[in-house]
Amino acid sequence: MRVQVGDVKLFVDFDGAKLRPQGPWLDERPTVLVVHTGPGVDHLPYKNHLGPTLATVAQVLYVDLRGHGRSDPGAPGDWNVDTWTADLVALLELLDVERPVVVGAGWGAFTAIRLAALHPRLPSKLVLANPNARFVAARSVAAFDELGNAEAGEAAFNFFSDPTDQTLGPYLQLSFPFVMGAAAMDALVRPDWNFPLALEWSRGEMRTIDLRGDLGAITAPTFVVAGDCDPQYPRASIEEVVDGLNDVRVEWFPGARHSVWRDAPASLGLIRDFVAEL
Amino acid sequence: MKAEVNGVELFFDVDGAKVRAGAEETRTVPTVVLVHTGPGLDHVPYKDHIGAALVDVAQVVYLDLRGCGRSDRSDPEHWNLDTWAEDLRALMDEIAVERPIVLGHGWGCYAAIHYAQRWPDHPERLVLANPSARVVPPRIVARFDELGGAEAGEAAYEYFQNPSDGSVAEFLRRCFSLLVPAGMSEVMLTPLWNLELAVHWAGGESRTVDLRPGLADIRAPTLVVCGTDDAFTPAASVREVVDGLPRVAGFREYPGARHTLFRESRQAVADVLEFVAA
Repeated sequence: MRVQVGDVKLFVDFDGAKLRPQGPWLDERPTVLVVHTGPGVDHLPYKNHLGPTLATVAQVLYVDLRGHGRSDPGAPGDWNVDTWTADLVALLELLDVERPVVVGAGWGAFTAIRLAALHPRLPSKLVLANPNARFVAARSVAAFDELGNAEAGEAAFNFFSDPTDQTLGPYLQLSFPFVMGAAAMDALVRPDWNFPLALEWSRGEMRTIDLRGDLGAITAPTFVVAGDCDPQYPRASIEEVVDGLNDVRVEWFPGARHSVWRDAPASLGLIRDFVAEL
Repeated sequence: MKAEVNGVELFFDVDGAKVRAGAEETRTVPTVVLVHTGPGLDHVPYKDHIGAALVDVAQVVYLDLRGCGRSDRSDPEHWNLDTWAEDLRALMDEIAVERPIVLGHGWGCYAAIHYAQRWPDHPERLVLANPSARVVPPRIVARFDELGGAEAGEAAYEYFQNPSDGSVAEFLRRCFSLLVPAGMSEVMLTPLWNLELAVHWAGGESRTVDLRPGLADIRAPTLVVCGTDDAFTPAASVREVVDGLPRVAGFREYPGARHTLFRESRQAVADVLEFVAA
């Protein structure tokens, strides 16, 4: 399905019904909005692990953010966290989805955090996977060096210093495997990666974004699942998010990289229980 | 969820993803839009049999027609097939469901057929379960008499002659249990049932509706499935539909099955699945 939101059509997909007959009773399940990581990739990877797990207790609403996957590209000038946030708020309003649980994964956590801070009453709960409130190049480069190797650190340094077609290639080849492991290769061969968007964001908003000031405005109970081996979203930056949140519980998964649930499947049950608990 | 369509809010629910991530490749499954029976009932009874089964091969969109279930009640002036067919089409445009398989059941077949006549190129395929193209009271009264005895026949006769709050109550008391399996009456007689709409239909459009001439306009390949013991769907009326359709992909009868065909016949569910997946 695609839904008109402002000047673009956004692709949405679902897993699990909202209303479910249980014998003579009718259960109403919460809606979980999954905000995918990126920049430039789509919602699909969540259908392999997180989505089906959550569909047992909730209706899962997947969306491709503007510029991603099967949604309209929109204009490069609108490829920013404020626009993605406004798109999601409008989408939820249009579909009459009330008080969803919002899941922000990795890069998607920027938008999830901004949404929860601007509209504290909108999400009933928040789940953040490896969230950062800002991008600290020095930390990430050091983590690529430490968790990967010198070449990974160097390629990351070159890309972060000057994101271009020329530096993106070596970054994806040498650094990115330490973010995703084998799954990185699956992601890389996918034809629908929007590289221009990834470059645009890395050149622009990535350098200035700082949502630490947003965290205090968030009132939704928040569950942070954290891997300590994701060089793109380093431990110290995840800790900044946890420290800034009011109502937060954090679970660290030693050795887990960017895709926490892939590396630590035990996280799936914990997220499911957090979504289901009243 | 709700979508604003033709000035009213229509409730819809979705189960099953449209785009599915397989181990090797991504695939897109058909969308089945389920048009519930009635008049005045809602989509819920389908979720624990045909809907749950279809999710394996399709994305299922459930909707409550205007005046029914959780959709806006609107007003009697808009409780007619033109409006229901227009709403159906408009909802699909609103959420960008292109070329759906539309599955009508019982009373919902009138709206499904009418929609398929008006927009012959919109549905990819049709499934009509227990369909009629018109309401022929003598046939239906005779079937209630046969299946439920003289009292049932008389209550049906009285209701068709003079639809009112009183006669609909008597009709439901004497006849409803003949349409569904034992124990289901209590479940389906929900407080959400809009009996005012049922009476409005019985006293109005049910007396004039005749979709037989337009059947020839339908281009979608159509599977017709029918229980032989549904008093509301006499064999002669189903035959009129089958004979009028230009592209019957299959016509199957299920001996002994009543109005709630999919609840009673696993074979009927399996046959629909096979048609949808083909």
